[in-house]
Amino acid sequence: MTLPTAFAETTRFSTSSAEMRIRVLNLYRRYLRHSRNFVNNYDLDVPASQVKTKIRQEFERQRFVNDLAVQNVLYMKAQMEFQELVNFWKQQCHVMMYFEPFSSYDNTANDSFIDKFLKGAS
Amino acid sequence: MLRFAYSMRNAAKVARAVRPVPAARMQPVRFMNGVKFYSSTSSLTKEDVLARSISVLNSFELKVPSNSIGMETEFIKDLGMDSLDYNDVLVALEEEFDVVFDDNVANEIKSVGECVDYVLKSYTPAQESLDPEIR
Repeated sequence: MTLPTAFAETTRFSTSSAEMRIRVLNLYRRYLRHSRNFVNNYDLDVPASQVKTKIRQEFERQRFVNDLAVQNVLYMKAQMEFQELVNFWKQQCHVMMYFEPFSSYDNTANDSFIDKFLKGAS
Repeated sequence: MLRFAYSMRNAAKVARAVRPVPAARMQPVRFMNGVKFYSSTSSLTKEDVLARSISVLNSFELKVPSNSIGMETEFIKDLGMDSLDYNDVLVALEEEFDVVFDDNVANEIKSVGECVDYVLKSYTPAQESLDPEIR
C-alpha cells in the first residue's frame, strides 16, 4: 500500500545556517539509510555502495553554497527528491539518470532536438 | 576397612544385576554447560562493539592507524573527518549493528565511545524466528 504522505515534510525556511546544517545532515543520513532500498526497489544494476557514493557526490556539489535562501531551496528540492525515491514514484530510468557518464553531461556538439529527445533531457 | 569396601562394591554389583537402572532415560545429556544456544539477552559486550566499530572504521580512509583508535577517539578532531564523512560512518555502524541513531543523538555524537555506548543501549538481539530481511 502506498501512503501518499509518507516521508513528506512541510517546507520550512531555516533562518540560521546552524539549523540548516543539522537538517541537511539528517537528510543525508536518511538518504544513506535507504540506499539499499533504492537498489532493491528500482532493481538497479549498481551496488548500494555506488549509490551511496552518488548521494555523497550530489551533496558535495552544493557544499560551497553560502546563500541561506539558496540552501533552503536546495534542501526543499532534495527532500522532495528523497520522498519520490522512497515512495517509488519514479521509474528505473529516472534513477539511472544520476549514473549517466560524465561525457554525456554537456554534449553541445550534437545538441539537436532529436538527440535531446532521446537523451530524455528537456 | 578394605573388606567393608569390597563388600560394598559387591553389593552394588549385585544391586545392578538385580535391577538395572535405565541410565540413558534418566540422565540428561550434559553438553557444553553454561553455553546458551539462543539469544535471550543482549550478548554484546563493550569490547565486541568497539572491535567491530574499529573494523567498520577500517573500511574508511583514516588519517591515523587503526590500532590507535579507542573510546576517546573523536571523528572530526582525531580522525580528520568532515561532517559528511562521519555521517557515512554512523550509517555504516547502523548497518553493522542493526540500530538506528536517533537524529538528535547522531548530531551530538563526537567520539567512537559515544557511538559504542549508544549501540549498547539500543541494541536488540536478533531473533531466529524472524527473517532478517523483514526485521
